[in-house]
Amino acid sequence: MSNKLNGTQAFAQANGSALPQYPPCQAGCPVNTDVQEYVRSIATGDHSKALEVIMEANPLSAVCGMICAHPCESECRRKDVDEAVSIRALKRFAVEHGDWPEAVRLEVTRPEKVAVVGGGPAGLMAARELARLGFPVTVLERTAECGGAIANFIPLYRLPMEWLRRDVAQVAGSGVEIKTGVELGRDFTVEDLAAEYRAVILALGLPVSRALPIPGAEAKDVMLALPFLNSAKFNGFKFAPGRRVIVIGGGNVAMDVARTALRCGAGDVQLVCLECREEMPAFEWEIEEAVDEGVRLYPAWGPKRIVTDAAGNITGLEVQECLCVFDGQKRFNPKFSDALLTIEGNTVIFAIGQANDDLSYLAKSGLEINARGQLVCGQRTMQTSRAGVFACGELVNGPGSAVKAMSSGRKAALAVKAYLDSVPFDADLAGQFTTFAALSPSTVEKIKRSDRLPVPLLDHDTRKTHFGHAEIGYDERKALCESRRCLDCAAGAEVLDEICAVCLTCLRTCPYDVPHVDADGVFTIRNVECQACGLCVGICPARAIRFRNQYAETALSQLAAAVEQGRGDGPAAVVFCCSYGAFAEREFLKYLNNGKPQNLAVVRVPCVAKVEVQNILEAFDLGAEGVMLAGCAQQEECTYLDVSKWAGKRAARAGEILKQIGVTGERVRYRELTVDQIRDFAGVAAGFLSEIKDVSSVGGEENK
Amino acid sequence: MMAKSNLQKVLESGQFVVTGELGPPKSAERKKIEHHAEMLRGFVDAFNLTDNQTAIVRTSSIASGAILTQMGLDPIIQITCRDRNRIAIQSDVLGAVALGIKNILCLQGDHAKFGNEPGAKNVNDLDSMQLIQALKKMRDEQVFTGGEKLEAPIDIFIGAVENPFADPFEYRAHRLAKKVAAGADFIQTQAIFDMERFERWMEKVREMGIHKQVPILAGVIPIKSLGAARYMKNNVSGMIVPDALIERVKAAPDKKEEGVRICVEMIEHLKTVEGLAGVHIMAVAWEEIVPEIVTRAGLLPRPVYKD
Amino acid sequence: MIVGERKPLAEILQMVEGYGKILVLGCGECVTVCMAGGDKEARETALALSIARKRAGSAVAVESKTVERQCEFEYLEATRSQAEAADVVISLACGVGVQAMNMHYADKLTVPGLNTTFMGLPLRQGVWLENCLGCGNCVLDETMGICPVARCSKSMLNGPCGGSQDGKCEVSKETECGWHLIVERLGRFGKLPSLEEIKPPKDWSASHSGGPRKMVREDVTL
Repeated sequence: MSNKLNGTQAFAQANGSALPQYPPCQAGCPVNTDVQEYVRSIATGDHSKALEVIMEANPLSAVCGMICAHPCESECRRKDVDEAVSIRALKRFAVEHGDWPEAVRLEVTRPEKVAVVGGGPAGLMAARELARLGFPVTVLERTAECGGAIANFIPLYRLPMEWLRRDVAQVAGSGVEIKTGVELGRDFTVEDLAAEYRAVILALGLPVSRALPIPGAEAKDVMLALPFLNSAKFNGFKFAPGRRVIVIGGGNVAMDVARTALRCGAGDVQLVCLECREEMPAFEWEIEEAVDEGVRLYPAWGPKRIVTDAAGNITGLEVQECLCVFDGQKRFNPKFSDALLTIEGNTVIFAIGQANDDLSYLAKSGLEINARGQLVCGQRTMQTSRAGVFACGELVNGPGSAVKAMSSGRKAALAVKAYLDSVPFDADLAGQFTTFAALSPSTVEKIKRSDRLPVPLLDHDTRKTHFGHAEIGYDERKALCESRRCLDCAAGAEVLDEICAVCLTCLRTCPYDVPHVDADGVFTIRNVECQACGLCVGICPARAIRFRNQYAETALSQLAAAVEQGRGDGPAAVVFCCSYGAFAEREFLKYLNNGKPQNLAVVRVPCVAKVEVQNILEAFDLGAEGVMLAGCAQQEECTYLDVSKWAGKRAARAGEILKQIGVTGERVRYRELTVDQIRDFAGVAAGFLSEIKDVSSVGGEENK
Repeated sequence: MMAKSNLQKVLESGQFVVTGELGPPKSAERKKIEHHAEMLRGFVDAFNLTDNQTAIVRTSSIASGAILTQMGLDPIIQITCRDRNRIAIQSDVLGAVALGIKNILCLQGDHAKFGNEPGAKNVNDLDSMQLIQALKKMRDEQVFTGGEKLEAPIDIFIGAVENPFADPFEYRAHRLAKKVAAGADFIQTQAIFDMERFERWMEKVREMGIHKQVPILAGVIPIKSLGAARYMKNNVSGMIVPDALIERVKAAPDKKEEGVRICVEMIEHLKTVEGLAGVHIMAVAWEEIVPEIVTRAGLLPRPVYKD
Repeated sequence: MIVGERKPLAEILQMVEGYGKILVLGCGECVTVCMAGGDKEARETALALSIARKRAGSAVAVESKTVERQCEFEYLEATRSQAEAADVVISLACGVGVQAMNMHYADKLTVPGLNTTFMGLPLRQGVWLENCLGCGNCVLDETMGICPVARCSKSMLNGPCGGSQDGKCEVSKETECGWHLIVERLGRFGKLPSLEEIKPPKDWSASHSGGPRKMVREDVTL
């Protein structure tokens, strides 16, 4: 037992601090949503808990369920095995299938009132965080409802308004005061705010579309992205017949514009952008969906001039071939060839970027505005040049995703608190965490492959004709399957050095070679490689391995309560069943909560191979006469390895121990149930109870 | 020096020797020992008396041997290392000699697990090699293993066994040489059923010249029944019974007659193998068949020496 | 390491019959490694006893605990309160630990929950092999690192016996013939001629045959 500097210690040393360590998905999420937890909750059928976890981090849960840019998926380590877990779609599933909690009004514990100007993602996040910190907060939104760009510009086929309204209602319900239709610079000034509020956060966004100063840009059928989107969304804008639309831009807004144009009756839609196809900044899936709907792409072409006829009508767009967009220093510096092309069309929509409003009115209130008309704000302090006035979101950081804006809003809230507490603040130090690198190739090799389930969409011919939600989303079965693909990164095994006997049993048992003896002979459990199957925990003779995340322990600790509740007629019996797959289906859960016999206790465990001999014996010690480990026969859906082997061995071992103390008969059994059997668990349970009744009456005789 | 044993005399005469095996009873019935000995009188030159063979408790080999000496027969008492430590063994050797026993065969002994006392402690204080050496030292140097002197010399004719059918095969002839170097005066082999393997072993023995240093008696067992053949194939350690032989017994209408025929054929053949000094017939629990085999194998008459 | 296996639970139950408060004491060393008497086994044993006694109508208070190493008095001190509170202690350590407990807590009876089987190693998971008999006079240098005393059923020094076949011992087809391995390995190293030397009878007085052994190292005694 001498050589015991092992994994956890080594890890703590490398870490060198008390910072939390997040899995890559959570680290990749700008608001650090506990992705693993909500994905696991979905996998085990607790969709309400999943929603709760999502809402904990994110005031725009529903919005993000529908349209989040999901940087989490880019970090998902599953992508090295096959494809990333479809996290965003799972979030949508939770949002749609979880029970929305009644908003709880947060207690105001601070006297200092705070105003947040702008009800977009950054502003709403800042407001909610401040409210959570106990401040009375007021959001001042100039339009009729909160949401910012999400409300004003995101097309309805991507996000039906009801979901945004649900989110905003939660924020409002938590005690954040929301005033709409009031505009800074028009209805009130910073001075007005300063008189009433101790701190102000400006979350004004970038609501202005930019155009290119090319010849023809002033033609009458030239439109700008944001007004176009807003008009389509709220005013029922329709193109007159025969409009052939050319969209300029390669980002997500350009895709929204192109796809919206189709739905607004454009005859055809062509899209031009400087970037080549591979470098287009829009999401790949969005480009694909646009192309599916019929948008024709002209990547790597730079707009040169809008061609008009004598009457001033647009006839096309002349473009020049773009060889590359960025130079060696990665600066925007496009190079063109001599090749020219004229794309025919009679309407041009610029979707090349956004800018802030004219902020000169702020200068009058003593806020510094730079030469480019942008608000000057410390990146790390989040403060403007005027004390007590903070800024966040796209206004400060430039264009980005909603979730990124929220991250900025969260920091602004913390900055305000620090300001009001008179303590220093550094945005770079706030909310720090560590994460870990990709899985080692040797682990990747051993993980079971499992294809990502595509998210169902309306077919393109149908969806492009209207603004109804284009994405259908996962149904229960698909969500349960997709969520099981989560690798539970680092949630699994870690060793308790003081107890470990360094027997290497785990090293020999682990299907993924996570426990390891290095070249110096030092034993470690490489927690960050762990797939959380739990086989090592179940076999460790020293009980020196535990899960970093205690979900399995928590599940197993339900035994006593389950047995207690299960006192009824006939011998008590316990079923330890898997909590995934069909065991997570609503039908089964309904049966458990309302329908199972009184004398049957059911404990759901995240994989039955995690049930230890001790747990089985505990059931008998609590008075059970029989125990069943119920696994699933649908093994191709199971992410774990060797489940049957080990669950079977545990059952047999427990049975052997019972036999030795005279508790005879087949008391402990491991069974693999088909999906149909799980869905008709009443039948399985009845059979099992009657078997146990037979066995225990015979055993009883013997014992006498 | 005491008179030589009958076995030693016949061996020295150069005649083809015949020894037989007697299993002492699981009782104290002297009559049984006498009966079986009588049955074989005149057909064998000396009688092996097994030492709790296959770890089954029986009348001791020395006591049985003493009975035979009283009958005027020449016993070869077997001593295994399994049941006694060096104190008991040396003491027993002295006692045996005092009772007129001259031939002592040294064996390791089957593991107690196979017998009727599977919980017994396997002593194995000495191994068979050390046993041979211990006896040789008692005789030639008059010292015990511990170095103390015997008070008077003893004369014994030391036998050892070798099993050509055990593994590693290549080492078996070397092991025989080692036993000879340790002090064996004669050798008896494990029962032969696989003649081909036996001949390969003998070839090696001749190559090493061991047959010129000690007389080697080849062991044979008459097969009494198909069941017995199968039992030996599957259950007796250190034996190889070829399938062909089992098939032959199986095919025969009269199993016993076939068993005798096989045994006789083997002896006829062994007589022709260079370097063999005789045969050792182990008809345990079928002692009555020995005269017929000896007769049919043309091994009669046995020489008789007048002291 | 020392290898052991839990005694049949019926036997353990019999040992503690009549006692009302039982401490099952595991050991964190060898018997943990060989999966016979570590914390997991201690808890399982305690539960089994509890179940059995409940069902027999004589419920018992069973506690389990595991100490770092039961053969060290200092570690045993860590279990004083539980040991003193118990009517009887079931030790899941090897025979050494059981005796250490009885020495340290002389007024308390500690009974064995394990049969201490041998000194050996895990050949592979779940399979342990005896390798050493503690004979007190190591000859592994002469036998190519394979012990003839422990790995030959007859502890022969001039083996193999006539029962060795196909590399297996006559005792069981599951048991490798130690001497077969020795001969093979000698052959591989070109050292077969060394077998010609007759090894003299072993001096067993260095083993337990010489009586209970004790070792004193003056340079480290206090």
